[in-house]
Amino acid sequence: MFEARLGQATILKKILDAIKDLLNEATFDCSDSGIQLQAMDNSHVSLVSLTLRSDGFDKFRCDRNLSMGMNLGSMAKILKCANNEDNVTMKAQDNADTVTIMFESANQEKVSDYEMKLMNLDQEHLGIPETDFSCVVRMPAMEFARICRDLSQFSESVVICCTKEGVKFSASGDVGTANIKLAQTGNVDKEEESVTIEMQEPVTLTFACRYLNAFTKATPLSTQVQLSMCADVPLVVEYAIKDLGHIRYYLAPKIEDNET
Amino acid sequence: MGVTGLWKLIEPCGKPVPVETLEGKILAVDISIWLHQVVKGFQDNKGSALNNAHLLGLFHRLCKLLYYRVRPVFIFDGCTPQLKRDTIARRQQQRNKLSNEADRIQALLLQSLAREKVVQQALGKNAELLLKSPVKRPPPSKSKNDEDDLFKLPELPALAAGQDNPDESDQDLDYTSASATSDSSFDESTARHAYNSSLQAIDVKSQNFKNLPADVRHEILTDIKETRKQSSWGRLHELPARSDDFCSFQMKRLLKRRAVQESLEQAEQEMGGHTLTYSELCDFFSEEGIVTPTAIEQSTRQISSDEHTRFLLVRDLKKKALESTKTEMKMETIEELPETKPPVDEEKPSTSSKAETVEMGTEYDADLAQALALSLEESTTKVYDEKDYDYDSDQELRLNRAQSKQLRHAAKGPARAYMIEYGGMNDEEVGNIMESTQLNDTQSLEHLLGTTVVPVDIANDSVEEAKQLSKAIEESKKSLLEDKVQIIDTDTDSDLEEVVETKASAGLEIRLDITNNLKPTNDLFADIFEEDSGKEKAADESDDDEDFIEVPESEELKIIEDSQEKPITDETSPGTEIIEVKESQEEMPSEQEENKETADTSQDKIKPDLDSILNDLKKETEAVKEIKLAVDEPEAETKPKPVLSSILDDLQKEMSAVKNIKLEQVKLNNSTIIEVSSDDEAVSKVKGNANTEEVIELCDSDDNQKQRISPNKTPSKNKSIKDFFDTSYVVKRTPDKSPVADNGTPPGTPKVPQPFYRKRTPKSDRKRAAGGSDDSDEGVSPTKRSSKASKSLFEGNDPETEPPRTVDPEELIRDAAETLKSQKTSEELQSMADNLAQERKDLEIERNRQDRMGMSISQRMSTDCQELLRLFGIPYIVAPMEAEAQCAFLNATELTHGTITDDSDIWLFGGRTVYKNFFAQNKHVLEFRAEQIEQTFNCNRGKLIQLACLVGSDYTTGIHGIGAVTAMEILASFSTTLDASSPASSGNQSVLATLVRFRDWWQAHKSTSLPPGSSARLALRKKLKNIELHEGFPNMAVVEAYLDPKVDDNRDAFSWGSPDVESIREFTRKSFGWTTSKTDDILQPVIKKINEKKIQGSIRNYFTAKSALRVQQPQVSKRVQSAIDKMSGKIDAETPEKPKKVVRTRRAKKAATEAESADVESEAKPVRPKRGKRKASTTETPDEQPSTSQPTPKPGKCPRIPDTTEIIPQRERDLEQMRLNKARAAEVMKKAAQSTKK
Repeated sequence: MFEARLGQATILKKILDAIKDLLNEATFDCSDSGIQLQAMDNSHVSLVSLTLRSDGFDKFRCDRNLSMGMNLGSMAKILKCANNEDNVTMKAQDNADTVTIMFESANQEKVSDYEMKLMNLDQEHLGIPETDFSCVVRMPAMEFARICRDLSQFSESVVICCTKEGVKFSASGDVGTANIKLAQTGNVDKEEESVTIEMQEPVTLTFACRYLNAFTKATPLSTQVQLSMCADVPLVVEYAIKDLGHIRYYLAPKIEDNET
Repeated sequence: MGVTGLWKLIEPCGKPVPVETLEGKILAVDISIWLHQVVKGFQDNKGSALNNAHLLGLFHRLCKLLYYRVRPVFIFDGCTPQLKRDTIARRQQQRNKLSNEADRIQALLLQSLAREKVVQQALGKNAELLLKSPVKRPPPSKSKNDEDDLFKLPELPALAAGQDNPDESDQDLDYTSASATSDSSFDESTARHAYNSSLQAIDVKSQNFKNLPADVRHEILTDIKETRKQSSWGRLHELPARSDDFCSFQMKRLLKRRAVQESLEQAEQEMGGHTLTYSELCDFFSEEGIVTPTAIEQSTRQISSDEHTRFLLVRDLKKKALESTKTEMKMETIEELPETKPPVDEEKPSTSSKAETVEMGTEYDADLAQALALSLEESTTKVYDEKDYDYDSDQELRLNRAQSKQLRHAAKGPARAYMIEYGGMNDEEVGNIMESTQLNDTQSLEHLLGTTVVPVDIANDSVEEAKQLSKAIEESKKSLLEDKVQIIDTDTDSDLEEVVETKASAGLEIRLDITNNLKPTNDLFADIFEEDSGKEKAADESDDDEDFIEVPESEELKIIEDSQEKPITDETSPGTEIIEVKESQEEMPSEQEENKETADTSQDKIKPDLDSILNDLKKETEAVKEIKLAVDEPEAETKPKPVLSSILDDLQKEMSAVKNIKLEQVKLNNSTIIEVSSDDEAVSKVKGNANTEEVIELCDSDDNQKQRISPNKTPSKNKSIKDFFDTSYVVKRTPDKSPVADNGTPPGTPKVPQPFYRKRTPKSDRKRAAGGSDDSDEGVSPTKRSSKASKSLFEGNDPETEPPRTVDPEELIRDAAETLKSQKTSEELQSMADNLAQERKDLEIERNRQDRMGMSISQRMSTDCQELLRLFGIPYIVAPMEAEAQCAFLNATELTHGTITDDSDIWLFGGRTVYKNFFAQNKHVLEFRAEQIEQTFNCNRGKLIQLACLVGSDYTTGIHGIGAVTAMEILASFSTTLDASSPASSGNQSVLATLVRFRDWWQAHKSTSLPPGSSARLALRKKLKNIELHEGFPNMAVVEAYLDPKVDDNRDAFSWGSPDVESIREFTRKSFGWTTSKTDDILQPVIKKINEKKIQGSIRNYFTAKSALRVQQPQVSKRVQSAIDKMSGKIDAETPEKPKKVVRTRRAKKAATEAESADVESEAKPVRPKRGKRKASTTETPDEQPSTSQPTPKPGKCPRIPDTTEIIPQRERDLEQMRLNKARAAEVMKKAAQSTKK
């Protein structure tokens, strides 16, 4: 028996919005510690890792470990039926082939429940090694989204160059080149607007804009985004979900084509 | 391609992969399979194959590969392994079939076109009739002009004839000149018109057209171009009815014009301007003022003496030969060739004729030309067309080429055809042949024709046929000439009689014709006509008898000959009563009248002979008919007799309604159709020859017309009418017969149209027969059915023609048109036209499709592709043998990461990773891995080879009746654990071992009722009871070919260059006619991609799979699964000693083993449902308990134990329940009994 209840459907909606562009379907692995989701996008360039801790839920019960393969598109459709303020409860029997999602209005006057078929998906867990990142950049999520959007107009790929002074995003294409530099903010008055850089050594990596833009769909989840980079290691873009967990995107960098 | 059913079998192993993930991979591409796909798949909007389709396909696919940054290595097929040869041969056969099919459809298309045209004309005519507008009049008026011409023309020939009478060679000259004149005049006016009208239908882009020699193309194109300049009044009906459509109509015309211009230029280029084109000739003529009818009148003489006119003549008649020669002398020599040949075949070449062969040749050239011109005229006079549509079905029959060939014969009447072609030469043979079966006849006929065919470019059957046709005509003419010679000697009727006696009826007819010819030259008009009339009279008289059927035939013959000769006579005798050369019908009446007046005496003499001959002929024809029907019925699969009879009934109704008109229509239709078809054929090089066909058809129509007219004029009207009907009937019948003969004679004959034939002929046959019998039934007098029929026909349908008696053909036509009109509304006509148009479109598409399918990959295509690859800087290998083997080798040696192919052979050669559906638009690219297949199916390479041996592949036909699944079961049953456990031991012997075991088992058990060994084998035996193991079944060579293919074992790494954009642009411009911008549109993104210095890495490169990949087990069918399990050793291979087991137990066993097996996780799923099912069934039927426990005698091995243990408690419960129920019931009964007691 699995049952998880969230006070606000809006969070679940945002989570779904954050991953459904990259993933068509994914397996939610439920255990008594919470819900985990890990999946690669179709072309195996990026990886999404979602962690929702059990203590973040209003109510969480998971008797046996459970893997629920879901079509995220369908899931998102169901969540559209919920009001933002509704309570949402996910329920599934052990070994069931459906999951029930129930929405209750705040005053308990309206209760709607939806049952969705589960899918049997290939499950392939990738081991993500602990990495000592050379650079970790924290910046406003909105800012990051804006940068990615702007730069993607110039090129398919963006170069992220992180130095002591700051982080530079640049793109060059047919139109020309674009450079956006962010310096570390001095004052820490508003934490959510600050840019902080922790750097062991400078890093320059190239990433595909397409994926970065997909990652920024998670912007509503968090005010800050954290980019962790290390040479020849996938970029990690992490959005924290307040009180609940986080969503991490891993993106393989573009590498020099040494064969030509 | 590949191993039958293998892809389907291993389909579950395919994993869809995004193309993006293939970036940077080195993939071998088996290009040969591409080429096949592309050549067959690429089509233009009409469904015909594209030019350079292979390059276009390669180009696009290359761009796709490069865009995804795959590093392709292209592998070309080298030579073909011996084993594959026969497979290829089989495929070739298939291809041939396809291209034959394409030809056949082409024939259908021609028919459809023709019909469409007819209907259109009928429509147009209708309109004309209604409106009395002059639009459609031009053809008739033109013919009138021609008539005038003819009146003027004869002066010279007459003169010459008068002078040259004694000298035969001079006569020849005269004839030729006369013919030339007539030809030229006809050519320029009516024939030309017909030609032009049909020119519009030519698709200058078509492959067929492109296959024509440049000069022919050039001519046609110039003609088409010329027609543009003419007024389009004649084509008003083509204008779209809705004004909205007009611009697109205009556009279409513009486009077409442009296409014509382009191909014209191309043709000019190819020609190098070495021949005198028709247009040039036209110019030349117009300079001389010859082109217009009036001009012709003025300058006929010049024309006649002019070489160029001869050229024209040739063009229509026998273009090729004449083209090459262009001079009379040459013509003569050419003529001689065929002439000499026939005599050899025919036993009785008249000695005199031989001496005069040369002259005769020229003579009948002239005749032919005239006849041609005549026929063309007729065809152009569209008067008849209106009526035609009723008989579209009939036309269909005639349309296809084989039929057109038959038509030739038909035109002359069944017996007549023989007689003319051989019979004319030898009477005895004629008789014999007639009596012998028709099949033989046709065969021999065809044989003869084949022998006579001059090896002029026989591009296709139609050409051949056309040639044969012309030859046949020549032959007939020759015979005529021979006869003529004799007649010349005698010049008396008595002589004629003698000749008749000695010769067959054909000879008679021919003689008559000859006399006609002679007499014109001698100015002995009266005599000629007398003779003609004599013939006709005889026919008429014989009409009284039952023989009249034959008479009509003879009449037809005669008439045909007459029609051919008439031009000459007209020319020679300008002042005579012959009014119109073109409208031979009119001539005929007049002749007949004359005949009647002058000679009745001669008839009497001839009559007996004629009668006897006619009788013979009749019998023969009847026999033929019967045979034909008999043949048709068995052959026509879809049309059994009942259907036919119903068809007949319908036909009868129709017949009664439109009979006489119909006959004419049919003939006319034929002519028009042939017209159209001839154009198309012209496209296929036969133009000139096709015209000869037309001539014959026209002659037929003429005959009919004449006969019809003649009845009116002659006193014995009814008889003549009967004759007419009969003749037409006969004529119709003949084509059917010949097709039948075709069917009967499998070899030699061009077979393309046959299927079509078979389908249609019966119907038409019936129709005819129905028409005839019908008529006879309706007839008043029981004795003379035909006469009756004709009478009834006439009375019912042609009241107008009879009363006036002096009705001229035009009137008749008008009547027919009106009847047609009355029968069909313009809407009906329109819908008919629409239907036909649709049909044509469909046919076109179908034909193009078949064409494509029939294409084969040429060496040139490979070299083209290699050039393109070089331009793109892509490495390629020409494999020493099979490309697949090379791909597999490269894959195995890690030179490539995989192979892009759709050919399942790759697995047998040891491919490791294969990408399928790479270029399929609507399918995911599937990645197959050998390990996956091995894991899922327990099928290593050796097993797959065994499988291939069973189901068949490129190297072996396999065993008929064994599919992939059955083969799996066989392998499971006969492979030993040794094989399964040691996949490395895939030596040839071990691969063969399983198959050998299977063979031995099969041979031991197939006939005897030996215990099959095990239940599985029992099931197998049942399944395989119909198979046949062929000699040397496990073929070592096949196994070796797969295991040890010849490959290029160079292990050097590949390198890629960058595309040479400039050269590629040039290449696309040359090959596809693309502009630079179009090329860039496609190429630029690719180049951009290529030039990107960075490639996207995969996340997989950084993170490794942590948990054991829980991949879903591919879903395979139960049968396959059980076989797999057995093969993998999960289930012990059943030993022969074991008691029989049901298949079900195997499954259960599997379930048990699975349950026991460690990886419950992966296997649990398939097991669970089964168990559930079992449970359900047992609960329902508790009685089953004993039986289920039965097959599990040995607990140790018994797979059922888990099941049974699970099941038992429930059963116990059930039993308990039952017991309780029983007890309760007993109690109730007891109570009831007690209560009743109380």
